[in-house]
Amino acid sequence: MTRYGMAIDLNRCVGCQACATACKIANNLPKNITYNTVYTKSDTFGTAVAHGAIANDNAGGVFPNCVLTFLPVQCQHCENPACLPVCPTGATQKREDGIVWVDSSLCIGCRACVMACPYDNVRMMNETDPEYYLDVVVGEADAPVHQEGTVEKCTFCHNLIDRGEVPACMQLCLAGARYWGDLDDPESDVSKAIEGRKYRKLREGAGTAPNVFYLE
Amino acid sequence: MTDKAINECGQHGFSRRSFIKGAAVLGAAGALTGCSASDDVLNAANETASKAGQEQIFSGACRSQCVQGCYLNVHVRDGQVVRTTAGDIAEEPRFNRICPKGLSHPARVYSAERLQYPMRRVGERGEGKFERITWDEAIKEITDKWKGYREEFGPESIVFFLGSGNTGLLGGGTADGSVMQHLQTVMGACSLLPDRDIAFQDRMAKMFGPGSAMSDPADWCNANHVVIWGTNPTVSCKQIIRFYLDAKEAGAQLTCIDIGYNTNVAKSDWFVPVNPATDGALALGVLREVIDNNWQDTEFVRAHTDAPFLVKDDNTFLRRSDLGVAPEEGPVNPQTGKPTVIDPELVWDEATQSALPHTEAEKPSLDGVPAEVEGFAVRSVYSMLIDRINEWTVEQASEISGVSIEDIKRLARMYGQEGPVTTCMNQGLNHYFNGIYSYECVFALMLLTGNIGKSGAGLGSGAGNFGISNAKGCVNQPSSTGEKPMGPGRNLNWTAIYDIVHTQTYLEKPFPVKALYCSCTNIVSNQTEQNETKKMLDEFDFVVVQEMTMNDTALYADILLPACHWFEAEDLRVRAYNMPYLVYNERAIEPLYESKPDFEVYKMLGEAMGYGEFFEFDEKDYINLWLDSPIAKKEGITYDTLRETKVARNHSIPVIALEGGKFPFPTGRARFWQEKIVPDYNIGQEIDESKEHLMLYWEPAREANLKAPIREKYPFTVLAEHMRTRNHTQWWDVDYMKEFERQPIARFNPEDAAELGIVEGDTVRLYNDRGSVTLLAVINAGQARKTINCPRSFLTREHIDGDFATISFNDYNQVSRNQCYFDQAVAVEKL
Repeated sequence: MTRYGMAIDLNRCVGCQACATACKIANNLPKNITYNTVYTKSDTFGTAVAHGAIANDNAGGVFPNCVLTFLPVQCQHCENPACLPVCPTGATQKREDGIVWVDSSLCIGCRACVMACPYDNVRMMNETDPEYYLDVVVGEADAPVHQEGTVEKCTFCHNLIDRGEVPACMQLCLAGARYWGDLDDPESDVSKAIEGRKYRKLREGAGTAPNVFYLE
Repeated sequence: MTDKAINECGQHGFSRRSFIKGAAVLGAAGALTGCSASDDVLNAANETASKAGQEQIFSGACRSQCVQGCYLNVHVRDGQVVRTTAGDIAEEPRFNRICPKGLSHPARVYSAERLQYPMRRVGERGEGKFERITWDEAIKEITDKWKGYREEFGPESIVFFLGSGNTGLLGGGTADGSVMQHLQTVMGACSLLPDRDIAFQDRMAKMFGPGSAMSDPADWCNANHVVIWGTNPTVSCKQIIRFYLDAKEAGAQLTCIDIGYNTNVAKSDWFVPVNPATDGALALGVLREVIDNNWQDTEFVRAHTDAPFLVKDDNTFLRRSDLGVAPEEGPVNPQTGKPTVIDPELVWDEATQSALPHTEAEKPSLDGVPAEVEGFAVRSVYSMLIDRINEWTVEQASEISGVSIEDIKRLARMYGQEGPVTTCMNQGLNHYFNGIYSYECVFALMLLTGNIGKSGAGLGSGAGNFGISNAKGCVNQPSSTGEKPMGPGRNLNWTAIYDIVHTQTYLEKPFPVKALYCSCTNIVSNQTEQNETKKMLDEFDFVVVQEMTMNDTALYADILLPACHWFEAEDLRVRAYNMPYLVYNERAIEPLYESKPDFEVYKMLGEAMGYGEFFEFDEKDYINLWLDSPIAKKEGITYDTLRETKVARNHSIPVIALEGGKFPFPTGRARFWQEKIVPDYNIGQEIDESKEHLMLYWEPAREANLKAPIREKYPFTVLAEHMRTRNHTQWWDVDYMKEFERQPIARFNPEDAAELGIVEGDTVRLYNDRGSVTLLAVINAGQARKTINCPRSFLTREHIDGDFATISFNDYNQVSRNQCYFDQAVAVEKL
């Protein structure tokens, strides 16, 4: 059976923001919506301009013994998604292939999923009628719809996957840090990337069994 | 290199989708009927969704001067660019590339800041008040003015700034054979040189020889050590960072010599923090330790450099003609068409204890040369190198550079004992007044330890440009009636232009300059000392700017011409710094509004100037002429093949540059000595030649030097870092990018900030005698003390007050026409 997952090699991620940009455009995201954030990690869990920091890329520690790493975070497409059982309308759904998505035609914007999810900022609410940077529609023709009063998040670009393409963030990582594919297929890029490598998952204690592997 | 690195790049292409040829046709008005959210949003979405996966994909070339040269897929739906993805170079996926800038092109195409029609200035220069005019009016007004200046003052009264903001052959302004350069040559106009990034190229050419000295990144995996020295690949040339990471995974130790702790350092095994602009002193200290331990590569130096050559009192080499043997005539030099002169340099041969041509000596002596040879007082270049190195101590180098004695010794061991070492440099050290000396000291370290011209030992981090093909033929192409262009006017240096315009004299002779024409450039933001730039623009009689957006230079135009976006015109991306492919750019959509392809504008101007017969070519003709060269012929590349393949490589580029220590000079040897000092610019400056003969000299920078007297008044060095999300000022109008870099900032060391009473988010003013900028402070532990990093590339209007580009100075080293973007000291005021 297909079970989609992702691996991100933190030794290779250089914080270039290509994955975040690709996501934003391919999904025609409104101004205030971000599915994919590359955090600068210094002394803190991570900060990002997209979530209020003044600047990215500042190191922590004490010169010259500094700390500077990057952490790309999106929906972790968990095996046991905390968002799924709390959704009162069935808008949040999990596909057989493991992709967790929100059907905005069913979403009532109750934020139960936002509260239940252990990962900050991976889903966002369209508080108002969405505003866009451009007057034209960009991205894929079947990009998610963005509607006032609904919550949205990373879809693993299932629209692209379903017609044989790859998620937008995966099309090209310039540092070669991102891998994606079927975790049940030992020959997939993601399975081969994980094999023999040390990895961790975000907030495993929450019991959600995320499917994004951070290689260290 | 690992198979993985060569064959994979983690890229997933759209190649399975067929490329649909031909232009998508939909007018600008149609293209801009955007969607706004409404109750019908779902219905509309369903309707649009039925078009999913049906986009036409055109080949695109990102043509910014980051010069990564990316090949892009341009996705077009209903006549609109909706997405860009990385193109697939099937032959070598390692060159598949894209970045946030390349990914956000739709926002440049549909930017609200696009210039939509030609305009005439109605307010003051810089004020931004314009009125709409027609193309006919604009071209007539420009060429009437130009013709008037030409008649009254001669063709050199018109000055072109050939910008680097478009690396395409047809639309670009660069000196790679562009149509703009052809127009300049036909009109006899002067060229105003940007004078950027020169010292690095200059020392490479003078020490290693003409052509590229850089090895392919594929070879870095063969190094024991890879040193990132004064370059910022993760931001400034981000498409090569994967090769560093590959080399590291293959077992090379990655060392980063830098002022601050940045992303490159974070990925490295060893960080060597160095004081700003003291890298040359550091290299001299390393060399002292190398020499003291006898770790130099004596046989490499003897066989592959000019170190054994004998220098007479007049600073020239002892040659065979000095012994009374007349020079012989050699084969004809294909470039000059004249016979070469054979008069070999002599060395002292230890085997025969006699002076012999270096080509004949069995064992050229390095340090055993008699004081007098054949009646001439001589010294070997090598003995002068050793004397220079011995003027330095490790302790002194440590004090100046801030690098510990232990670390200097470790670097010496690395270069002297633990090779092969690949040294990756780029433009960082260029941006100081002493840049030329920094490079020569590091290059000398590479040469003296034999860390060049071997597998795993060489210079990075460029390599692989396709090469300039028949650029000369393009620029000088005759008219349809066989007439030759009058030839270009003089090259004018940026540092001198204000005085030339102000005094209307050049080198103490009358030199009327009246008109300036800028295309593919934003000189106000990107040249040093902005207030001088603005004064210069104010004093020109007539300024024409051809641009895509209303940037800071456009504000100074008398006539403003709207250029279209790159994807709206056919072109061939010819320039790239670490990418051996040409990339063909199809016209993906029609030009928006009334904008026109730059190519068309250059032709219109040429025709209206009365030179129509010099411009009777179309895109195909011009590209084919450029491809009329041995490289392109060998590869079988023509306009028609490019339309099919989209990309085409030059396969003749060696993986290991200068392999076997073969340097492309007539002697075949690398150079440490210059017999004659030829500065790369002449504005009548005085030159102290004693600094220049032996290319192993160092002096401090002007303001970045911690001990400079000016530092008492202005205690901080300000480093202008590139932005991840802009290239120079291009992408300034792309709001998507502001999610990562929102506004101008100044990064402070935490202790410096504490002393100044500054916390994150405070408004601060940086100032000196030349200018001032007000922006937000952030705290960055990666800053060395007394350094401030400011991402540069913002327009004036984006700063709280002032402009970052006002604080730099506009002056050059005596032999190197090099703008100094980092050599600037400021004081800080908390507001």
